[in-house]
Parts: sequence; C-alpha cells; structure tokens
Amino acid sequence: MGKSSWYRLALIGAIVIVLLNTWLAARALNTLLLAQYWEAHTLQVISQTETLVAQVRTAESAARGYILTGHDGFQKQYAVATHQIHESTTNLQRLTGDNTSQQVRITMLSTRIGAKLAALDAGLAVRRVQPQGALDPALLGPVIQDTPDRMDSVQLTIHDIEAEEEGLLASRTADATSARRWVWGSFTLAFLLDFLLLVAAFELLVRADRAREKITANSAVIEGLNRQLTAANEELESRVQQRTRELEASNQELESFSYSVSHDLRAPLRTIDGFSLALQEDFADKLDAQGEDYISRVRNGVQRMGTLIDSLLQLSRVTRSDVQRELVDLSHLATLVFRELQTGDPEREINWVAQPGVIAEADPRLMRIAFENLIGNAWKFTARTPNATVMFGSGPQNGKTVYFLRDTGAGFDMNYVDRLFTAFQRLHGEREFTGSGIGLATVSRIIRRHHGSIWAEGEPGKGATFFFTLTA
Amino acid sequence: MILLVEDDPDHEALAIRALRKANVANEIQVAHDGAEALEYLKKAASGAKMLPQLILLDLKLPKVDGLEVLRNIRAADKTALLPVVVLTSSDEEKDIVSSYRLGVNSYIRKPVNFTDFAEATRQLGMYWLLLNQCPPLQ
Repeated sequence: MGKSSWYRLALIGAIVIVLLNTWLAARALNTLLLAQYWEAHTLQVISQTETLVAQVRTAESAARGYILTGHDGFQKQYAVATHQIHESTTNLQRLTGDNTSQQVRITMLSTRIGAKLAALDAGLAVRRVQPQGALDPALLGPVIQDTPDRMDSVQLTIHDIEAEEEGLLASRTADATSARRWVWGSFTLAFLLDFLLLVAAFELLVRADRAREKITANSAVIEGLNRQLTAANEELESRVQQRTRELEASNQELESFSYSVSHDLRAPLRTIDGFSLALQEDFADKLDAQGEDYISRVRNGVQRMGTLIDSLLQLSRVTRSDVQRELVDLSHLATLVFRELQTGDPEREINWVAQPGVIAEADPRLMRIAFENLIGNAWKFTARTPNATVMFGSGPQNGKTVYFLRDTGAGFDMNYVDRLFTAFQRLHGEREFTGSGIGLATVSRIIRRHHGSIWAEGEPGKGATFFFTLTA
Repeated sequence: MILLVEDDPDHEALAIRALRKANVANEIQVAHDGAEALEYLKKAASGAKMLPQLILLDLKLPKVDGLEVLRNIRAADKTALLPVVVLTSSDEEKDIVSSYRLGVNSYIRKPVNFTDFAEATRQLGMYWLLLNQCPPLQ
C-alpha cells in the first residue's frame, strides 16, 4: 500500500473518531439537560404541593375566624383562599400529568379538600344565620370536630404526594449527576482526541514542510547541475564548432594541396615528356640506338611518376569525398570495369566469371574506383599465367554478405599479407609487375569509408582472393 | 586563328609544336595570362583585332584565372558563341563541372604522355577547325 493511501485511511479514521465523539458528547449533554429539566419539574411539583397545603391552612383559619367573630373580613379571606386552592389543585393536576399514581393521589386529595371545604362552608352558614353572639356549640360541632380530622387526611395525602415526588427527585438527581459525569467524560475524551489529532496534524504539517524544504533544496541543486550541464554542453558545442572549422580549414588546405599536386607537379612532367618526344622526333637522325634507349627510359620514368601522382590524388580524393549509398549492381559494375581493361589490352585472354545479380548498398563512384584497382591488380598479376580466370561473387559469412574477387595469377606469400593494404608497400618488384603500391591502399580506404573490412588470401603461383564487406 | 591562353612557356612551345605537327596552319595568337586574354578579346570585339575561331584555355592562370576568362567570354555579345576548349592538368570534378556550367564546348585534361597530347591536339584541330560547323561571326 502506498504512502498516500495510508494518509487517506488515517484521515478517514480521524474524521470517524471526531464524529463519534461529537455524537457521544451531544447525547450526554442531552441526557443532562433532560435530567435537569425533570429535577426542576419535581421541585416545582413539591413547591406547588406545599403552596396548596398553606392555602388549605389559610382557608381553614379564615373560616374559623369568621365562625368565632362573625367579621366579614374573614369571610372575604376565605373566598380568596378557596379560589387559590382550586387553582393550585388544577395546576398540580397539570404538572403531574405524566405520573398516573400521582394523579390518583391528587384526585383523592381534591376529594378530601372538597370534603373539608364543605364542612367549613356548613360552619360559615351557621354564623351567617346568627351574625352576633356566641353560637350553639352543637351546631358547630361537626365543623369543629371534623375539621382537624379532615385536615389530617389532607395532610396525609399531601405527605404521600410529597414522598412520591421526593423519591422521583432522588432518582432524577442521580440521573443528572451521572449525566453530568458522562458529559465531563465525553468532553474530556473529545478534548484529548482532538488534541492528539491536532498534534498529529501539526506533526504531518511539519513533516510536509520539511519535505518541501528538501525538495526546494534538491531542485536548487538540480538547477545548479543543469546550469553546469548547459555550460558544459555549450563549451562542447563551441569546441565542436572550433574543431569543425579547423577540420574544414585543413580539408580546404588538403584540397588546394591536391589541386596544386594535380596541376603543378604534372606540368614539369609534361614539359620533360614533351621535349623528350620532340628530341626523339626532330633529332631522330642525330640519335643512335643508345640515345633512343635513354630517351625512352626518361619517358618511362615520367610516365611512372605521372601514374604515381594520379594514384596519390585518387587516394586523397577517396578520403575527402562523401559516401553516398545507393543500390548498386556490383556484378554489372565489375563486368564493366573488366570490359574496359579488355578493350585497353585486347591481346590478353582472360576468363571473366561474375556471379550475376550481386546488389549492394554502396557509393557507385567509389565502388568503381575499388573495382578498377582490384580488377586492375588481377589483370596485372595474371599477365604471366596462361588461361587465367578472374572471378567475382559473394556469399554469406557470420551473418554478413562477403564479396570476393579471385584470380589465378601470381598470388602472394601469406607472411606478408599485413603489408598488402599499406600505401607504397609492394610485394612484387618493379621488374616483375609495375605498380604504384597505392591501389590496394585506396581500395582498403574505400571499404573502410563504407564501414566494411577487407582481407586477402593467397599462395605464390596459385592466385589471390580479396574479400570485403560493405557494412559494419 | 587560334587563341592559345597558356602561362607556361614550355607548354606554349609544345602546344604550338603539336598543332603544327598536326598540320594546323591557322595563325596562333598566345595570351600569357587571363588579363592578357581578356584584353585581346576586348580589342577583337571592337574590331581592332581578329576574332579567334577557337580558344584553347588553361584554367590555372596568373592574374585572372581560366574560369573567370570563360565567364567573360560568355558574357560579352561578340564572343558569347566562340568555341572554347579547356586544356588543363586538372581533373578535379569541380573544375570540370564549373567549366561546363559556364558553357565550355569541350574539356580536355592534358595527359603527361606527350604522344597522347599530340594526338589529342591533332584531333582538336581536326574537329574544331575543319569538321565542326561554327556559328557565324557577328
């Protein structure tokens, strides 16, 4: 489970706990309020009951006063008291509407109060008939005698009512106390929990802040590194540009050098050859056989130097030119080169065998130069082999296509194979075969420009085979 | 008349010899650098000198190089249609391409072997002075 899922779970838990706690506290508070209401209600019932007792007493003493003295003031007092008793009874009945046993008691109380008031009323009636003088005790007997007794029965009933209410009060006070405890408990719990949650939230905030600070610090570091990288890149870029400029300059130099070689070195050779020829032609009558031989040697030397310059130029041009690959029919190209050689030297009889349809992705101009050198080599080294064969083909080797050119000519000693592709290294003397020693170096460079490789196998007197690939 | 533009006196002598050997009887006028060639052609255009039937032009010349001379020849009305053959030691591709872009009629690389050069000169004279039908001179 991921860190954020844990946080979400903790948040939901905290919310549930707070809600539960709030509900508990609210319920406890509600219970407390209810208990307090009932407590107050009980107290009110008790107070109302006591008021009623006092009013009954008031009515009784007013009735007695009138009966004894016949003063009208007592009669009025009595009327007020009976009215109040009536009101109090109704009130009490309303207050104890929830309590059936109390209702029964109050009904009984009301009956007893009614009986008492009826006895008092009878006494009052006697006095009204005889306003002055002492009354006949026989007439007042039932009033006087009955009165304390009746009062007692009222007293008893009221006592019962009060006892009941006292009991209720005790239980309701206990309820209120326990509710108060509950309220305190739940509020304390809520406070503690909220406090804990607050602490936890604060801790999380601090942690988040620290993480943010760390990120800010890290991003500053990253920014610094980025700046360094950009600076390094820029420096590298400028260095590359400088190197490119230098390379371009050196290429330019090489190009103008080649141009000069092509023009300036050949010019004096042409002069030497031209005047040698002029000597030969214009002064033929003054030259003997030895003179003729010298002149032809001069011209041969010039010729070789010309070939050498041309080969060097070709080598440098191969190095400078871009490799532009396209699909080339190598079989066709090799055959064309062979036919050109054949045309230049129709006397020679060589069997040309080319595997048809060998197609490769290569630079056609460079490949022509490579074939001119390779097939030219084969042509040269088969000069002393009767019925020679030159063969071109291809085959797979280690997942690559390998092309080969084989001849049945003079061949070479495998001990010197390393020197084969180096410029100016020759395995045959000038006496045997003429050559510049640059041809195979040029071929090797062309193959390398194609990211391929070249190697050779040979045996003196049996022939040589040149293998090459055109991919890395 | 042939205008030979060649700075090397040896090559000038050899070229003239080769042309004579090839039985080219036309007058041969020599300019030793590009500026001289342009000067001559300017005069020819104004009628002070004869316009050549063929211009043999070396590319590597002092003062004004061969390609610039060729550009000027093709730019001027009077000389625009003259047959120009570049005769040079260079076989650089860019020289060949530039020459043809500027409207050269033929490009020949001077071989080292003078026998070959003599043969080429003979063929040149035969072709441009006898075989080829040049546009009428204005």
